[in-house]
Amino acid sequence: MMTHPLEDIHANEVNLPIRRKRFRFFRLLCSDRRSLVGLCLFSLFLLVAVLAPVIAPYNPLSTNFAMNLPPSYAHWFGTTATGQDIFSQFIYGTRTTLTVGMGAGLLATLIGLAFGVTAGYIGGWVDTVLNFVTNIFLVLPSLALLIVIESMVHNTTPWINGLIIGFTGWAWGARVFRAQTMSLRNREFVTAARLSGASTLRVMAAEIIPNMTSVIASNIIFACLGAILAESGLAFLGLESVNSVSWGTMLYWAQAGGALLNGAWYWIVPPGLGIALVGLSLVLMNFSIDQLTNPRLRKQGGKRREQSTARSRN
Amino acid sequence: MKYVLSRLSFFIVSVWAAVTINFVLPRMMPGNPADAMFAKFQNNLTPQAMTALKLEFGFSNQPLIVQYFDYLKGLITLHWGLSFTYYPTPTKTVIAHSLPWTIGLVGITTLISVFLGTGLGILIAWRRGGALDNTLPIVSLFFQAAPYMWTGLLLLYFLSFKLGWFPLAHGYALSVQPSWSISFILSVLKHAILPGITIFLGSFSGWLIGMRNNMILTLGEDYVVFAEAKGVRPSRLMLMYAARNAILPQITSFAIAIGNVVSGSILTEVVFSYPGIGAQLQAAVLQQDYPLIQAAFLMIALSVLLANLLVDLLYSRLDPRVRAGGATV
Amino acid sequence: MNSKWKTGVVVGTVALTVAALAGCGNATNGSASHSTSVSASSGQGKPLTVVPAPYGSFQDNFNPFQYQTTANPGTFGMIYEPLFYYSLVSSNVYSLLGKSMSWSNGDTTLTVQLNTDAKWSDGQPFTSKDVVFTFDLLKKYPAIDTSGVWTELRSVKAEGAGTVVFQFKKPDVPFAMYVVQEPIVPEHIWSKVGNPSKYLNSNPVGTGPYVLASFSPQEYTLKANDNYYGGKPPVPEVIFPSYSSNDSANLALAQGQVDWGGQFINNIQQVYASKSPYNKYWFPPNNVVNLVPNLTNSLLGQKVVREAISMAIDRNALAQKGEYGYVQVASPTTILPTSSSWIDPNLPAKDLKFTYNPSAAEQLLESHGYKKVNGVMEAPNGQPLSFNLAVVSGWTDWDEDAQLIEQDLQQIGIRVNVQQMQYAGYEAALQGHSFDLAIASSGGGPNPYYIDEDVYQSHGSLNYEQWDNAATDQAFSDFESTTNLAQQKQAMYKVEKIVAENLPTIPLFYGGTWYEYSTKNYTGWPSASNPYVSPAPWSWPAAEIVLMHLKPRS
Repeated sequence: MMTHPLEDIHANEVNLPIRRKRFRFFRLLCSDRRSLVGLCLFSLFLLVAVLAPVIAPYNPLSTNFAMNLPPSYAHWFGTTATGQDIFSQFIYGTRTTLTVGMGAGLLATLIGLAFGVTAGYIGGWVDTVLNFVTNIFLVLPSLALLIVIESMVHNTTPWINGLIIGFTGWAWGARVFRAQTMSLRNREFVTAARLSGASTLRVMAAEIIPNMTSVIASNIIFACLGAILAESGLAFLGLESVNSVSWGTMLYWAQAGGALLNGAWYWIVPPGLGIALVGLSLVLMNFSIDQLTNPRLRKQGGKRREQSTARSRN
Repeated sequence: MKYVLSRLSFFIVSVWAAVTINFVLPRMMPGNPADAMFAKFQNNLTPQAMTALKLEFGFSNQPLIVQYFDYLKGLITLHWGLSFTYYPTPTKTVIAHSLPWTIGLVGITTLISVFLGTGLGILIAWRRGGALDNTLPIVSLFFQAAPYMWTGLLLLYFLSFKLGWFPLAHGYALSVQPSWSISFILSVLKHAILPGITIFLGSFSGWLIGMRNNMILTLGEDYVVFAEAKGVRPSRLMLMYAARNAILPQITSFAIAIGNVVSGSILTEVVFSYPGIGAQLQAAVLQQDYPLIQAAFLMIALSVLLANLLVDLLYSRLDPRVRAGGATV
Repeated sequence: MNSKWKTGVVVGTVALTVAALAGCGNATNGSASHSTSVSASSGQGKPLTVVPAPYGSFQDNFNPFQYQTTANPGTFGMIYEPLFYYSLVSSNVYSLLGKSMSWSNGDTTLTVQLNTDAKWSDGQPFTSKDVVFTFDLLKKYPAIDTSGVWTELRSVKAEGAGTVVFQFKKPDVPFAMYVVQEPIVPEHIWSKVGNPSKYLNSNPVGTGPYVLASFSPQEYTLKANDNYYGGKPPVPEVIFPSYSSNDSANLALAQGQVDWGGQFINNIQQVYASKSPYNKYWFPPNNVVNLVPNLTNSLLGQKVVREAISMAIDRNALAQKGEYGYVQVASPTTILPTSSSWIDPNLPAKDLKFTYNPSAAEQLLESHGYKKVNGVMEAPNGQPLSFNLAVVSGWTDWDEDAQLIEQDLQQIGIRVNVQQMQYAGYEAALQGHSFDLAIASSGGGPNPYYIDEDVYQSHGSLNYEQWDNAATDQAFSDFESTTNLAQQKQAMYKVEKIVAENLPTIPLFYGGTWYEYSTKNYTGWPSASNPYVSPAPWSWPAAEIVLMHLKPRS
């Protein structure tokens, strides 16, 4: 669904000891103001998701209230056309949307890792085949494919949608991981591990993957964002069980329930704004990860670097 | 040449993959299309009417492999079956009516998005740390993260419904007859503004930030630093030295971007009742119009694959390394 | 997807599929009222924009044999016409291509005198040969015989240019409505088109008041047929725009861009009617929405259980919340308020109105040996009263109703598990009788026979509950074999009593016909005070009759 703002991801800092790098990662996340805002925003939504039953004043599906109420003290975001409390739906929707988004994002990244690292490390015909499959998934229009799949598995729950999104949305990650692995494959520490008799799987898991954490983190972020948007898009099109409570289903009901006609902006704004803010918090956090992978992008590092951080763009 | 051939063969094989996915998926679908059709008419059709309908649709019980080759043969000979929703209209007619709208909308919006995004990306990278550089990426990212349908619904509500500045639906005004007249073209443009803005807002940030980051990386390259030291004029340095090289990676990210824009277009068309293929696909799914789902998906996939092929070939003209046959993507 | 649209289209199909031939004598001559409007209009009227339902886009299919499915709105009625049309909201029968009809030969022969003033829009005269040709076509291609007229017909013959004789296999008076409401096509064109079920008919030639003027997938326009035998149509041009969703069509209605709509609109008073003094709506009842029990279920087969369920359901809440206050609650007789003359005057009060009384329901069960154990009602044999309730997912009003029913029955200890199903699965469950409880609607029709026969006749096509009762079948059979209105009423009285006393289904409310109209440019619309014909723009071919009754506002 999403393009990486930074298509070009490098493996330039892999020689740093891993521990120090992780430490830097978090320091960086907090030192960059934008990323800090992102982190706070995301944590806030995470907290809302975890505490949904505590925060939400009512059952999100209960239809016990008057219909089409504007926002009031009793109903902060008003009520729907069937008399459901929109605020409670928003709170529970946070939980669904975040869980599905993060789950699908992680799943897509895992599959991407499996494809990309295997292809990049083993090379040869394995690479040819895996890379080919990756490229096909990369170019097929994702939402159209998802819609076609959804028309097959009717009325799915958000969780099943998350699975489907994860299984179709891994290709970009695989491509990045493959390039990354290829550039790591011939480093001394990998060769050393290989010569010391480590199995292929072990080399991949213990030497290669730990040395591309920032790339992985960046990929998780965009995979999550993509998954959230895909899930909400599907739900909006009515391809998700209409009784689930997610931000996408809220938008579906807002449209089906005549929110525009009733001037119920308070029904449309919260779910979309929620998605936009969660997405924004994710990409804000990615700013510092970008800077980790591409130190030249770092604000503080205004000085131009000399000679060459391996800038291979194939 | 080798590069062109490899791109062409990839194109052909990926078309085959799309075609095959297209065959397999709908056949895994449960439920009988004729039953699904009755959803539209609730349960008021008599059993006679049901039998009549099933006869009309001529269900085949042949083995899958036979169906597959029939399907391939049908595709090549342009026999794409009859749409259930518009029976007995051939699906290719339905597609032919809707595809141009989407290609026009997505194509023009993407061009605007690419030029504006790339141009502003160059600018904010050059004035790195400036006011624009600090705000524009964040704002654009917000809209990228916002779902297309949400942006669309809000624009529709405020600008069309409340203020009445723009039409509520359709590709052109009802009073205008489709033709190459000025009034028709103006009407089309007016109807395309809000859907266009929606897609633009959703896709702009990728180009902007991608270009900005590429520029910053390129500006750090030795040859740029060297040129700067030599006293090359700043505007020339920005455009001829840095931007020219920073633009190449933009082209390769087109593959992803076009898929994203097409996805956005489906959602946008639904919100604005735009007569494009995305809205048609959505309607076909809701009606379980399998022949139309298949044809719409295939045409969307084909368009995207073709766009990718064109960009790949363009890239080979622009990047001397590729032209020389050195690199593969 | 959307339940509103579903209900919308439904009734349109009901018009023809399920309706009856009652009292053939009182046919109103459709053309008589038209002629008055001729002088009034004289072509001064404005175009009229109609949105029968949100059609994503159009294809140029004007095949009248597909008017129930894929043909464009207006094909049947505005372009092609039947012999007669039976109103669903009044007892009016409109004479179109037929002038009069009469039964003979023990109610097995129907003789129809044709309106020989009628002409095809290409100038050719309309004759009995066209009618006979049309019925031969239906016989030759069962795919287009969607009403199954040839299951009951023996032969169709012309007697001169102006008379057609329909020979039935056995007396089935109400069935004749299917026959006389078939669209008639011109022999000189349709004899050359091959298989009519695969024919798009992009250049329609009909007898109706309109002809196709222009077509595009986004919209098409019909213009008045100035040579219409019923007089010059008062509306010179009718525009059909496409909208991809209910929502976008509703926005257009609210903005005054649409004159005649058939959509469900939530909160209609505020968002539509209050926007302009011209904006009007009327939601006449058209069918019965039932809670259908599977009578082969050992518990639901018990009358006392069904009675308790019926008493424990707050129908007013269903009508107000689930159906947004747009519908009326059903009576035990299942007779629509528009057909009140069919109600047996001797029925006791308890058979005329349901009472909501959960505690009485509980007592009733307990008096029959049922008892509550841990809040769940159990049958004397210890079986808990727990049922699945099937509804179609996405038909939001029914989904809402199901939730309310679940809460109501919970109160008397009956556990309900709502199953929201995809339509195909729901349909299969009903047809295969693999459900406990289901919400389902009856068909519609000009009189109660058409509504009840499908649901309660032992072989009725909507008899999902499997009600198999000799007295009921006999009553329907009595109805079918007479043209005498009084005798038909006597037959229906029997059905009413049986249904009210035995609750083979549990009627909930009367399904509404969604219909919005603007009196800005035209007056004369059907309304509660003037219910001359089925008013919804998807009610084919009734829309033609509405259009011919309109008068331009001066």
